[in-house]
Amino acid sequence: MRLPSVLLVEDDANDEELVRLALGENNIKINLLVVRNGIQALDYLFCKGDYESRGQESPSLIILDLKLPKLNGLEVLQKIRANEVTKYIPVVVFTSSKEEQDIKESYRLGANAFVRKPIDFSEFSQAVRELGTFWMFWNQVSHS
Amino acid sequence: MNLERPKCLIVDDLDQNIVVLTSLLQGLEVDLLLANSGKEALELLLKHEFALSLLDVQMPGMNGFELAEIMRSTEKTKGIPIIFVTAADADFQRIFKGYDAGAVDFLQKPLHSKIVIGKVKVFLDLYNQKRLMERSLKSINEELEWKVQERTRALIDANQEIEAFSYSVSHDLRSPLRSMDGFSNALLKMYDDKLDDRGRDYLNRIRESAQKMGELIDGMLVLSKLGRKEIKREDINISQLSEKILTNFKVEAPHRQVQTVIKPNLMVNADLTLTKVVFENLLENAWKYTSKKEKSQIELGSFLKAGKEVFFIRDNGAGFDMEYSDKLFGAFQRLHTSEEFSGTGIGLATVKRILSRHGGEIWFEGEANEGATFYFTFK
Repeated sequence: MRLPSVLLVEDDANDEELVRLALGENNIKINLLVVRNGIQALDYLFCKGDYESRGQESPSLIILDLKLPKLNGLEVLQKIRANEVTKYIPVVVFTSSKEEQDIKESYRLGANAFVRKPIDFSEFSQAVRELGTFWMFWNQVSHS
Repeated sequence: MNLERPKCLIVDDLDQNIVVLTSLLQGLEVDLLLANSGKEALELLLKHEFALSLLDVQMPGMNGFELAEIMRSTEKTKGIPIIFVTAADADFQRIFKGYDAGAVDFLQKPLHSKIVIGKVKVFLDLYNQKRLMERSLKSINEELEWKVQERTRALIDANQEIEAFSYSVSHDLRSPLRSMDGFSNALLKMYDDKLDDRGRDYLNRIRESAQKMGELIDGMLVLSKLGRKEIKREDINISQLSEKILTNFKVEAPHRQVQTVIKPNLMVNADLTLTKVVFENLLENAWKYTSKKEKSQIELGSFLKAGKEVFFIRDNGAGFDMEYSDKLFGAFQRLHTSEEFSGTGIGLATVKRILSRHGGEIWFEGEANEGATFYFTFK
């Protein structure tokens, strides 16, 4: 069976490692693709730049940090939703803050969920588990 | 400061009288405008600003008193001082009757040059002084206006800076903490066989510290946000609100014996979100600091003091030493160690900030081990 692929847009290598630890702890097997900033995320999704020859298949889920170098998460989200190819890919905003403006903007721009990265790793792990189970196995096909 | 030459209106139906007055006044710093009738005078009055008017009483058509009447009832002219020029003694009584609204004087014919010049000068000086004062008042006002605008701009800038700062705090300060907690946790789980008890203890301490700092950051952000939130007032039943909050506490700690006494139907007119924060904090404190008592008591009540309703929340808990009580409302100040009672030290600072934004106050009484009472008002 081919593993579902998830694009993690995350500039912090520590957070990436924590996501991997949490995936491992929860036995979630996915193909985790990681990009470090908004430009790389769009290059990946639209098969441009370094990702020109990666093949056409889109990830099943995008996990998007908000505070990113170059192009921030909300700008990336806007571009994802404006493009026919990527418009229906589920996007979960996964970020440090729970600032009201971030939450509102994320949903306004079409995020499917907003999850705050908890400091406590047990909660962090649980958040990743919920992301994994909920989005990967129940919500994979049903796009409206 | 240079002022325009003041203008003086002279109204007389007889040219020879006008000639006499103009020749008497020509040495003064004043422009003389002349009218032969009440009608002409009114036309001039509408067009110009006058420092003074000299009205002949005896005129055909509209006489001097009638003209004065119209001047007094017209917004633009009602402040212009009037000097009546008259020959008849009988007029004096009328002069001072009914013209209370502005300065009124008289000159008796035959005109005496020194008296005419003296009286006119007095009014001109008054007028010039008034104009100077108005001008400096205007410039003071403009300066004030400018200062207010400048301060407002500075405030807006400062607010935007705080906003940017707290945004960055909420994002950037939290991620290192997540790494500390997450990797300590990973060490505990994945390298358990390589750690002894001491090593595990230290890693747990790192985790606790990271989580504690996370709470501090969150509390600080709440405090800074509450200070800027717009206040929307509505009527709130704080007795019901308190009941609800305490019920939640009771559900979470069913083993505790807590007697709560709440005076029914206490009302405030305040912002609902912020009022919730006030009562959550005060009642949580009462709940927390009574946790070591076998039988805890928490009371919400009110009384009138100088016509104002003062609310209070009283508990029989750990209390505090009044000697250090001035630190109670400072952000991040604590009178108990974290080992005794957990907490971040932001709660009461937040409560105080909210109440003062409502025009209210908070104060307290307490004694170590004898409980504490917090008194507070909303406006």
